[in-house]
Amino acid sequence: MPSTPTLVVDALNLSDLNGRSIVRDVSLSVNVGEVLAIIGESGSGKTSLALGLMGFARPGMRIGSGRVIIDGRDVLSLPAEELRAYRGNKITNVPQNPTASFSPRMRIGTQIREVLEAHGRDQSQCHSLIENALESVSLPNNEAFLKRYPFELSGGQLQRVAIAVAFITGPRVVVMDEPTTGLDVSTQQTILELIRKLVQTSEASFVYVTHDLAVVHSVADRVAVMYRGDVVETGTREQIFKAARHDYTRMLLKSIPRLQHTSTSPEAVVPQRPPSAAPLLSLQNMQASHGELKAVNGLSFDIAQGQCVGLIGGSGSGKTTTGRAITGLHTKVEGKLLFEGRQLPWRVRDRSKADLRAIQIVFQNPDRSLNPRESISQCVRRAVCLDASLAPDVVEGHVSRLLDRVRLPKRTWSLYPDDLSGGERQRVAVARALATRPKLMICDEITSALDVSIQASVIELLLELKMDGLSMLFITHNLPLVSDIAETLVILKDGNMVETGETSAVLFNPQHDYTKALLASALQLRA
Amino acid sequence: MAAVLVVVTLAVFGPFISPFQYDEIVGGPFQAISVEHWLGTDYLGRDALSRFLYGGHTVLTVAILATGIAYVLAVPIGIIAGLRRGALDLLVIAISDVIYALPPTIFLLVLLAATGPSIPATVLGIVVLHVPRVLRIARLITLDVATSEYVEAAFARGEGWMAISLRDILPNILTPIFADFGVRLCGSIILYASLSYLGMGLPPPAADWGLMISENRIGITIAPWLAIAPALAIALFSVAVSTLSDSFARSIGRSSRSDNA
Repeated sequence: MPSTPTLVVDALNLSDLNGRSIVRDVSLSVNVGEVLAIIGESGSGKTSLALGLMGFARPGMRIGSGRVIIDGRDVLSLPAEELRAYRGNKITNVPQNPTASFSPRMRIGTQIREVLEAHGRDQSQCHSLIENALESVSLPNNEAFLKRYPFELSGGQLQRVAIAVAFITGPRVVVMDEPTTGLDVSTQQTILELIRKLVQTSEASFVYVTHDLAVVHSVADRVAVMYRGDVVETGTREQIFKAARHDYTRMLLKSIPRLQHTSTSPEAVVPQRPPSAAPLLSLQNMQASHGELKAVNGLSFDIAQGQCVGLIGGSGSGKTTTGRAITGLHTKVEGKLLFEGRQLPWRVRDRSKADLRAIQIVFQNPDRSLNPRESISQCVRRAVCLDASLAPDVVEGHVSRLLDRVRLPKRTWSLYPDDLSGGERQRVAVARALATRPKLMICDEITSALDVSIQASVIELLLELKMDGLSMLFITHNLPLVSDIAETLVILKDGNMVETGETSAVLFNPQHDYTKALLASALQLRA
Repeated sequence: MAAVLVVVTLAVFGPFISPFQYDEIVGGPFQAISVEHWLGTDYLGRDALSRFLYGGHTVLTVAILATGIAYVLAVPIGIIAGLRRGALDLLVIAISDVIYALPPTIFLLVLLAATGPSIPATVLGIVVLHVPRVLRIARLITLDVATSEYVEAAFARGEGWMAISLRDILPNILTPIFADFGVRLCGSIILYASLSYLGMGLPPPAADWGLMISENRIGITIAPWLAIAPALAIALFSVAVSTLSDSFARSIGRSSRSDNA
């Protein structure tokens, strides 16, 4: 390891405009060819820190004191003009959400070239640089590809372009802010491999921000754990995973869902109920399409009373469409849907109020599934009031019981969704779904927008609800997560069911190649 | 804000503080500014200040009334069309397209020529012109809000159209609607002022800002303030109204914005 680190952060402080401290006295150093992972849950200040390294402050935030030294120069004290020459050149960034970081109306090639031109590379150089960059991220480097628009590329491809842009100027420091979070497992895997390859061949230092410990395990050399604005622990990867010193780090490590390979018997975790004779819901040969595109192709499965079925697949596999179709929100569907033995129409407006209340859905992103203009208790009260048989004086009692049930503290009841954290919002969404006393709850990736530690507590809540007899369809791309909760798994690929069976059978003895690939790419951690 | 207050106060309370009757001839035409007549006298020798103070009344009444009625009609139609889609939506859009195609001033002139100039007919005309425009905006934002998962969740648990419109849609489209309200109100003011300038407002000898500009055109070289004062009042009022409604829309927008940047 070279003796002088490329990037040194010295007592960096960031605060919001009211003077509340967001990042406190952070000091770090990263050597050439080294990957430092910054890990923490949302709100821990990790993204603010990453932006601070580039001399940026998010709206409503200020860089207080401290120094960020790259190759011996303090970046923060540079005049604006020189700082701009550093950004995107000597220090570059791979953003979290590639779709939001490209201008939708500009061709890919133009956007890449723009970066080079902004940093004074001349035309002749540009061409070969772009060619090499695209090749290094395994993208086709021909004119046709460069002429495409961002919406013509998949999320994974866009992220590759973003990575290519970050490396194209030969940077000294690359800051990656959750570059794989928005991608599905198999794409995540290939992007991580790509990053590992680039790390080996380039001469830069890397800062990798993430909340995913499994990712840390696979890319990082050293790890800094952030908690509420402080770096609570720094160490090599082995130190952190094997001998974490701080309580928070240990808590994080404990809350990672794992496949049950190591546990003595899966039955001990998943309470098995004897399935009753008739299934609660039976889906028969369902076909769904989005316009011309077939999304689901002949899917059939049953959900028994009190059971949980895990529906698993990568992005574009049709799993969300299936969930929406069962709820009645997808209109272009064919096939049969039997609920309690009766055939149910596909469309919401053709279903009876009682049937609608019996099937409830919780969406992936609680930011969008709660009305921003309704307080938490209003939101739940509305759903409770749909049951006209309830006397007005018992409504309040029901609302409080529901909010208690999902363990939302009383102080939050009068707040609005914007005032709550992601995990709390998702609890509100669950409470709202429970308010109509459903028999079946459809959970569409309900944990994927949440941090690991919060994920675990939401899963715990679902397990409790299941104990109370609620049936569930759990839609996810996260295999380890579903192994905790589902009795039966259905694996979807490109709209086709490739495998189904009891959870343990599918996990320990997968038949289809795709299931095997999924299992292999579900990043594993063994402490 | 202050500008709006001043102009509104002038328009509403003007008649009470005006020194003379608006149609009282007090001297020779185009007299210069004096202690007795602060804005001089107009082309018939009436006190210009008194006429100015009376003149805001109708513009303000017509503009607020017409814009208000247009919103009360258009926003619900827009929400229902956007939320229910289908044949109803197509019909609403077709009708509003036809009205859209009419040139506003000419439409109003023709209408008033047919019915004779009157306040109710003017208000009606401006309402007819505004409704499709407001409706389109309400419908478009509704389409956007209607794809939110909280609206889908509400449908999925069997809530009615009314409940969803009032509790999920309306509160979430108010910000852009308010921002738009200011622009429409300005539009109404200018429309009415032009009508009255063209002689289709209140008939003389009534005092009216638009009419005053046109009446005193002939004296613009001798007593320019006679035309400038009402013109300035109209301009100031439009600018103030749109700034105010914009900042109001912004303030309700800010209170709902999420801060997870």
